[in-house]
Amino acid sequence: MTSESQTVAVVDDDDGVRRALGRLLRAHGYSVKNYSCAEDFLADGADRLDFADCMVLDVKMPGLDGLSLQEEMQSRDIRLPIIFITAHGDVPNSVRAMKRGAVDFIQKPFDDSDLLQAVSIAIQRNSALRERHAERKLIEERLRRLTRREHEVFMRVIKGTLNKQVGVELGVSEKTVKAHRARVMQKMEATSLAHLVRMAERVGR
Amino acid sequence: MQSSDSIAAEPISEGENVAEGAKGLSKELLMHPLIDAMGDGVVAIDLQGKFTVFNQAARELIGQGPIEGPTSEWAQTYGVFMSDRRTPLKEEQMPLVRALTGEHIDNFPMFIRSLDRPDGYFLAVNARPLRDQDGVIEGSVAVFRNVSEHKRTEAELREAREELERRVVERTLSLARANRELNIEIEERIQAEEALESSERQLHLMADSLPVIIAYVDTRQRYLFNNASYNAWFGLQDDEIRGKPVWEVVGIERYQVIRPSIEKALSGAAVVTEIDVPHPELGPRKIQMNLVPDRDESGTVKGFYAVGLDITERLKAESREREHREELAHVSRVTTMGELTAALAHELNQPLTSIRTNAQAALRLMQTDSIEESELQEILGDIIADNRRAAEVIRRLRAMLSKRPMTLETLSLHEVIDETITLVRNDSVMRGVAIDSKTVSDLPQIRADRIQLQQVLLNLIINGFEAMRDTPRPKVLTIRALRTANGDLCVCVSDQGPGLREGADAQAVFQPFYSTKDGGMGMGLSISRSIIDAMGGRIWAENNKDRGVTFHFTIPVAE
Repeated sequence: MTSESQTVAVVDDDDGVRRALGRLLRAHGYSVKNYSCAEDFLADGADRLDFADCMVLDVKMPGLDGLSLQEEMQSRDIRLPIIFITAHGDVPNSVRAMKRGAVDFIQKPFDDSDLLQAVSIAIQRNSALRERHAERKLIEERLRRLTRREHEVFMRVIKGTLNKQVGVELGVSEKTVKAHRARVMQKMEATSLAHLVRMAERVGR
Repeated sequence: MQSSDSIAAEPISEGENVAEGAKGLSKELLMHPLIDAMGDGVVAIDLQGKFTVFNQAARELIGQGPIEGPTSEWAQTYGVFMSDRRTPLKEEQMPLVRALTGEHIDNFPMFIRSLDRPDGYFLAVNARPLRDQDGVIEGSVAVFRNVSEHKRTEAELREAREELERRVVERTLSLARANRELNIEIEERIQAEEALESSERQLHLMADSLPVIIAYVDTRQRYLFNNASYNAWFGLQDDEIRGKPVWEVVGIERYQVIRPSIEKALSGAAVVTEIDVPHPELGPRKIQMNLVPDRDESGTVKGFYAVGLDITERLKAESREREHREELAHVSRVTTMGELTAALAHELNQPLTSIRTNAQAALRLMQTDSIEESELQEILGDIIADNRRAAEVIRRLRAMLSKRPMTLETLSLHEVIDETITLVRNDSVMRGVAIDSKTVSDLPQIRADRIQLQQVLLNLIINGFEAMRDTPRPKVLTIRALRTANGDLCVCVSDQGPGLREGADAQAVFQPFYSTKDGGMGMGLSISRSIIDAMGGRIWAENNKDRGVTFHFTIPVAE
């Protein structure tokens, strides 16, 4: 279910609540990073990909509050899944937070099972996010191996252009196109044309 | 009517007063200062629509004086609108114009907005035709007041009274001057006298049209003048009043009441007093009487003017206003309590969250056998600290709700219950709950803190209302007060809601944080219990035989 390596960032200005949350999460095998305000959290390198696996965030805090921190994280492209905790049953705020992609909006005082379930969902979501991110990086790296001409062939092939037509467009023979195409498949480590097209889609080509 | 007859728009020139003096106490002399001094605006026009009267109050209310111009331009000139504040009042809708056709207009609402008074205000206008002796209409008169602000009206009345005094003094002086000149000029003034007769007649007509009772009483306390309203109030004819002593006209009983005021006025002091006078048609009315002494040249009091305004409606409006204010104060107090509750709920949620989370963490650690004694100690320490935090919030809440030390006094339980019901009357109407309150007669006085006792009652009543939220109508909340076997008094508040859960501990509802309501703090009954305990009573709850629950509490009787 959980492993040592998974880290939960907790941001809550209430010392008692923060300590108790840290204890509960550690008792369930998570590593915990505690912050008493949004500013401390941002200053601690929250934009690193391996910073944490999810975060538990209090809505009402002095300084930057929970919802503003969520906004700030989005503008900095920090894609850490967020579980909000709040002392008020505040419907408009919870709707706002959920629309912006929060995992859950839990009212204090809560049952440990509710929180732990939300944390585990958040971590799953985060690992899926990370996988997609890693895959994208890998494909982009392979794309950089292509020469300019190979890239031109690649762009046409993924759109379904026939070799003969590619040759006409680029002013080379069909045979030359075939050779370029084989090198593209090799460099991109594509097993089939369908595989190549899927990779192109992943990186938005 | 010739233009030379017009009066009151400008101060009367001395020449006109000369002829007046010849007839002793002239009605015109009497009327003009009074009209000008009235708190109500008075304007009159002739058949051509030309203003013949435009008193001081009218200038103040309308924001400008009389302006030459056809009646069709009034709406534009004076900024006169219908009561919707937008539609300009048409010429044929103007009360003065309508009165020219013989119509009587009462309390016509009109809105005035001019450049210097951009917010505008409402006037209530009364208008009457003015007729000559043969009943032929020769003009109309309108009396109006600002009904936007009663306070301002009051101030204007006060000013008017001061103004009245001042004017009377002025008039007395000019009368003396006029008398001197009269002896020299009387022969040459026959023309003027004729003109004035007409003017005087007009004034008399106007005095009779005003919704104000006016009289002049001399030092022997006999009436020398009275207007038609005066006759109407007492149901008498002119000849039953003129020359008659006050006690004969008003009746000996009422005379005993007003006699000190009359004597004070005749001793030279202005008097303002309120008296109850039944109107033959309108029933009991409250009249504000202004008695203003009239002095001769040497300063000797010759009599007094009596001007009476019917202030019944104004007093009613003021009392309604007062009720609204009190209602508002109550609503804002309840709102404050709501906000307070939200803030406290937030503060209580924090320690409650950490207590629960800490306990659950400890449980988990114990299940996995991974807890160390030092960590357990730390957790328990945190739990105790958070528990103290929660208790502190509650202590503050209690302090806020009581706000002062308990003060026991001897009270009538019946009164306290009635007062509390008044506080929740609006609430009960809005929730469609009828309150059925009965108290055994001859209950002894109790020894309790009035405010805190009300708080307990308020709590039980509101709880009852909320318990009946889903009860079909008619919903009835029953309140009973009776005497117990040991002599204490007992109050029972019963609802028709779902009652306490089967098998639930009836004492549990008095524990802090026990709540079955959404967003309820569960503090009301807990606080109620501490209040009743402190007053030496007891509080408990029982399900009713049919449905709902009854809360009982006892209070010791006074020694």
